[in-house]
Amino acid sequence: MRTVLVTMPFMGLDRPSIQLGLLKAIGEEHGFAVRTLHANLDFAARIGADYYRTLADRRGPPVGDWLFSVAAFGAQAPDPDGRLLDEFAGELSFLAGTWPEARDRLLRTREHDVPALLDSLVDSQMWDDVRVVGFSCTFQQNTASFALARRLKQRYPHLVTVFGGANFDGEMGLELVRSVESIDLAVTGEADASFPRLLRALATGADPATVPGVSRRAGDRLVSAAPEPPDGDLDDLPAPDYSEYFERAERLNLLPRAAHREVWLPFESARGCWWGAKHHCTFCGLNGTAMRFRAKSPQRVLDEMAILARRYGSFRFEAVDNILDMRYLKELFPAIADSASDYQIFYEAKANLTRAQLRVLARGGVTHLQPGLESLSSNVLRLMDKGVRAAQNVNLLRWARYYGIDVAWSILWGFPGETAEDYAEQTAAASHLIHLQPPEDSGRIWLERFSPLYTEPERFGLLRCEPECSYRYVYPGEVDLDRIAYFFDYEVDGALPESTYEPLRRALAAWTDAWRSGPQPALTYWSVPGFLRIHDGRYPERAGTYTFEGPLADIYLACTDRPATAAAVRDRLRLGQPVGFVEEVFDEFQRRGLMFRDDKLAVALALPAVAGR
Amino acid sequence: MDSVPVSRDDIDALAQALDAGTLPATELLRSLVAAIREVSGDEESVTVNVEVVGSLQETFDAAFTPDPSPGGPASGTQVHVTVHKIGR
Repeated sequence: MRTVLVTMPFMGLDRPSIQLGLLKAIGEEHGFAVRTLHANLDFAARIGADYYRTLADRRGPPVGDWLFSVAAFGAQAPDPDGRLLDEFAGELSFLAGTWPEARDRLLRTREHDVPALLDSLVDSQMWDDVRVVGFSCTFQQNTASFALARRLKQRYPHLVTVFGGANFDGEMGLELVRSVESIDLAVTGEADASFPRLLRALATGADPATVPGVSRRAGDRLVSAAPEPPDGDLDDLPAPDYSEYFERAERLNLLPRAAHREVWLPFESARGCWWGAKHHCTFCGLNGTAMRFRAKSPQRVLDEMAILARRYGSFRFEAVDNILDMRYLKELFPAIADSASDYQIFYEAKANLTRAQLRVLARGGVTHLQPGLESLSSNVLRLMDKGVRAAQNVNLLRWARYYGIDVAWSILWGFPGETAEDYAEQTAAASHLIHLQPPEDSGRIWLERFSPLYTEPERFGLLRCEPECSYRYVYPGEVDLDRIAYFFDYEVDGALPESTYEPLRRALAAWTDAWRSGPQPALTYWSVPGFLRIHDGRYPERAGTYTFEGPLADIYLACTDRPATAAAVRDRLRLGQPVGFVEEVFDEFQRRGLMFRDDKLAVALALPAVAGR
Repeated sequence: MDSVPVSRDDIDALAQALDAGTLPATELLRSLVAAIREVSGDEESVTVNVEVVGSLQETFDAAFTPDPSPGGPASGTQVHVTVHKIGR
């Protein structure tokens, strides 16, 4: 019994699917013949890689799902005339060219490229001996997957279609099985254990819906077995198999052989979120039904990276984990540093990392970090239950720059309870931070299923919450959008007007301009105990050097490694002056943009001029 | 700079006189009493140094050397009172 696992548009095209790679390896471990099909690459080759990336990488109206809606639902598709394009023209302005050109191209893509892709996939010889087709769906992959499943079932009625992935978590999966005809079975939750059990059931003729987490339609009702809580040891999982991705990408001229080393290989060292298990960030909808944190052993991670590097010739690794296992700071990254492996690694982490921890990460190969900073206001961070202060966020940006770690981060707004002052403070601070990496993006939070904002609307004063309006241009009327939506439109009691955020938006744009145009701004210091020189080169027209001696130098240096209070600085330095004096010094450093103040905390903004410490 | 030994009794007496309203410049004197008490803690006596120092702003201005050209306004001086504990 052969199985093909498919990833459809609009999965990103620059890296293989870990979902497919892992399930293929698991299936084969259990004795099943499993192939993968990165059909997203075929579409990228057809419409052009740059255009594909533009459609795939952008959050906003679900244009990707809209493009495949007609092919997925036929006459039941709700928007054959393209009304979505007119309704959301403003939000689609990122597409190249004039709006009429962009609109025509989207319609051409839907009417010509989508059917051509599906024809070519269905006409290929690969399905003749296939019994099971599995689709992995995350974000905008639903309708493309439904469309191919529909075509395949028309041509090969014996095929069994199985769906899974984040889009099938919780009630979303149940409703999709109920309402979408091309879905035979869905796996809800983690599939490491249920996938091989499902294949076994299909091979032996048993009812697949007796496998935990599997659902199927039976007439007008659903038959399903509740998913088991995830409890397996992640060390027992095999390394993912990405062979087909590299072969296919090369064959489609999307990835020359010489560029294999530039691919960021997805790897998984942990699941769940140890912070979210204790304090669920109010806006976060990740880990919907599997928050409990589990991690592979450091040795297992080392072994897997070595296997993948040798197998695919790339030394770049992208952890798909949602949060860094702090144990790795002592047991994984020092081992990577000791092994002299030339890895470049991406990780997501909690933002309260210290200078010493960032140094460990950098020496252990972490070149890219997504620390979930989200704000430079401690009040807003408190409202989102982030468990970190603004001063810690700024300190992370400082030491990440010093150790050469690229930081991907955003500033979010729109949290119930926030004040205009929270944004005025961030606006004022931004002009002093231009020597640090700016946020990639900023904007209002999205209301996501599974987030506390969604699950506890009364606690947060949500006045209205309904499926994001663009869904109705994608799914037919019989699909209950309340049950399948992941993003929701909402109104919050006491929300600030949009104009509140405009000054911050402008300040962030100026910060980004300063960072990207010409030499990066610098604020650096040289010191010995009791003597400090700070060169401020952030603004060329005001560039110069401060020279401090005695207590002023010591106070500044006491706030360079981590944020500190005036009382703590006075005690540590055994100053004779009162705390108020230290506060006044903090104020003056802040006034000159040399320190960031966060209530009682202060953190120096300058970085050591000498690298590598 | 002038150094003046001050006992806890002196400070308490000064505070009582202030409370009685018999002294002029009450804001200045209350500020001095509060500052000395903050630093002296449980000490029986401290030395109060009275010195004329530049303002912090002036100190920072003086600490700065512009790259292209000198500049930066200076501000007025202020009286700064520092209190040191007497070592035992």
